[in-house]
Amino acid sequence: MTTRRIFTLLAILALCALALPTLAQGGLVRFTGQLLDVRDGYVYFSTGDAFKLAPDVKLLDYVTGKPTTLQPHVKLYARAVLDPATKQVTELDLTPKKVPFQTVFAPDVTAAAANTATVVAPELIGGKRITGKQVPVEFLVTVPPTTAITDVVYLATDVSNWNPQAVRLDRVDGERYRTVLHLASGTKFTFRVTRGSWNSVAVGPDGLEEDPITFFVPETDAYSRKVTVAAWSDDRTGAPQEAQPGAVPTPFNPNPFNNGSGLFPRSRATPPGGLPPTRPGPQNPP
Amino acid sequence: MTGRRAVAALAAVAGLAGLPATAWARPSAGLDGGTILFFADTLALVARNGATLRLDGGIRAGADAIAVDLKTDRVVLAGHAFIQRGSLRADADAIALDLDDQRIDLLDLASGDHRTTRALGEAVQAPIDPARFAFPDVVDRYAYIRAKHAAITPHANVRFRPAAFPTSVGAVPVPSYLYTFATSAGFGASALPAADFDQPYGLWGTPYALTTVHGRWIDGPPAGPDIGLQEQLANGDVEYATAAVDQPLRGQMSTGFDAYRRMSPIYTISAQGTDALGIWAAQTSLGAAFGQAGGRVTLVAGSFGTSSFDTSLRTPDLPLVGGTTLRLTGDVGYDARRGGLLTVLPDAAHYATVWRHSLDAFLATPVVRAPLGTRLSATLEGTRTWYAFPHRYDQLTGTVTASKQFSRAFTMLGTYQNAWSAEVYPYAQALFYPPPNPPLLAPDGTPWYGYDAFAGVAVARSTTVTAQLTPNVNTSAQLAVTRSDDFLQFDGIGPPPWTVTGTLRMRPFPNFGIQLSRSYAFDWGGVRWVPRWSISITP
Repeated sequence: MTTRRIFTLLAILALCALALPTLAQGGLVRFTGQLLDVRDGYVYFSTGDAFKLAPDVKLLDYVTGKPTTLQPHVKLYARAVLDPATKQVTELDLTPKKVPFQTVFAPDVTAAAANTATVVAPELIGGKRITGKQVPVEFLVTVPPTTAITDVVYLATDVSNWNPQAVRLDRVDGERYRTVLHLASGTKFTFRVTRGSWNSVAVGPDGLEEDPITFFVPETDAYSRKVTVAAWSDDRTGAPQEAQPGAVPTPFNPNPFNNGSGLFPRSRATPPGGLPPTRPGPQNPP
Repeated sequence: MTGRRAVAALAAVAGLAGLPATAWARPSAGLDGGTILFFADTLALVARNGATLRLDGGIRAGADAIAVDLKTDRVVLAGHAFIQRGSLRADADAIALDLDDQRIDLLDLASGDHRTTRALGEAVQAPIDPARFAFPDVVDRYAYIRAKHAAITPHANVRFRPAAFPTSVGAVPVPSYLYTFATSAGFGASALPAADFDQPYGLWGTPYALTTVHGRWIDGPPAGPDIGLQEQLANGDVEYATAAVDQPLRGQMSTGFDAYRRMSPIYTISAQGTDALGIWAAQTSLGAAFGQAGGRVTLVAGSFGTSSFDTSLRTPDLPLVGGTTLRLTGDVGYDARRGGLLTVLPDAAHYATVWRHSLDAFLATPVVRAPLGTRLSATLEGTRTWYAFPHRYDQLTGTVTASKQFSRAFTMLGTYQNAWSAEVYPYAQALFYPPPNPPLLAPDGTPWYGYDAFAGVAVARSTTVTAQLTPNVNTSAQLAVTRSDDFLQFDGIGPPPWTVTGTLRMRPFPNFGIQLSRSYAFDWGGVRWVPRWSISITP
């Protein structure tokens, strides 16, 4: 008996859950998305939404609004125009070209929302629902082949005042780094990819700095952002060569212990006891 | 000494130029409340318990709760909201306004939306604009800062008084904290030298300038705490200038500056300078892009009368078979040193400036799948530099990288690099590379006989194996082992034969992350191991 009650309770909960989206739709008048199927008098969208077709549903061209020879099938894009009274689709505007997902409600719902005594999240009315829920966001960065295997890649963001080590990424393989952040939907920021300092920041294929990348967390269950780094600002490829392994003083390499790049070397630990004395030393002292 | 003074003077001038800009900044909004929570990811402020807002022009507003979206400069007051200016006052169930605009929306649940301005004239009926009142939900336990007062400078910063950084076991209090979020990426530039720990503390800021003091730790030698002062100026992503003074409590003060300007979509110019440990250097560089090809002209001057000049041109990545790419770079320039570069020659003074030109080829394969689920990639780079003297420098570096992802959480990576280089002085090799007499001393005081065999040709072989564990999004552990096997044989100078580095990244609290790194250099300078810490805290 206990098991039956649990099943009954679960069934009621499932029905309520299924009914909630329908209740929330209220006076939906237009819905735009990608078609999944048209079957048994219903139109199905790839978002999981389905609407009943009116018996005399009209098939029109999405752009011209004139009758079309297109027949609804999977992968097409369509705008379903609903009659708020019957909640049936009276018009289906078809196009093979990608159109943005959109949900439009009846104006009377807008007014109703404004006059209701309960607090309605206003963003629902505009069809753009931003709830601030935690969304797992994957950042996958592909780096150029000049990146050393021991290098660490970071994201620097405006919300962290461009700290060049704000978000650390983990190596995935020879060319990719990855991290997953839990960000609230609606989060907006701009970022750049660095190797830990502002002297080693990602640059464009032409070698010049590009504008930061703008990022927005949409209202979704999970999100992935892929970034490809064309080059680093401190890529040494083609730069005047420093002696390797970097420990041999020569006339043209007066600072052989500079294991950084260019003018500003990285911080370097000195061996215990300090660097070797300059005298006695090689006959070509630095 | 003149150069050092020039670097210090430029750093001081840049710093002084920025100070007035930051000091004159005045917050345009003040937020007070029994509790103010700040969310670093969405840049949102939520004030409750007697929340009030003060704006320029003597405007005061209040509500049960006030939410500020610092990204859009939008303020939403909800529940028994009011706004007043002198004797004028408007009440509503919710009010929406912009920090940088005159428009004010009053939402009354009974009569709908009305619109007015900051002058608080008669409100007129208007269609509801839901986006004006939209505000993402926030979860209190993810708050980064808790405070009672917040002074907002739009597009720049918020100063919290007093500020506390809440954790599940308590809150870390500070009397005042300036959180900056300026959109200009130029604020990322730093003229401070590297440190093992660096925590900036904002003093003053505007959308275009920021003054910070940095609490730092240098893991030596000499090891110890360090204080840095930095002034930054930035204008969008077009230009920036920064100057810094760094004063270790044990050690010498250093100064530096860094400036950049994008002159056009084709040309950029930058200048840097540093003065540390009695050695100064300054550099100015002009970069250019022609499609995907590019060029750079760089002039460097430094201590001891040294200077250099470089002009380089490079091709874009040229596609070869199978996704392999080739990039060619040519460089022409000179090295100069007062008194002469080739000090072993009796007429060294004749060689105060030596021109050179070089050609570099960089070959890179794509990442390819290999047996056992591994992925392989390789690069090969060869360079030859010719000097205006019987001398050339050759270098050939090959790198192979392999990786295998055992699971979503565990990855292993390995790389092998072999770098061969040769300084060649035709007919004069023995003159430039004779055995040192008396022998060079290693750091532990013993003679470094290995140097005797060096005649200008060196090889650096390095193998690194890295194991990486990422059990969840907030935790990762990494262990890297590096083996260096060089000629000249390691004798206290150069990379240590073995290095082991462990890095742990975790998020002990919802709003704080910490990264700990511990590395050991084994058998370095006769010491069994040399440990080194690195710590950073992230929001």
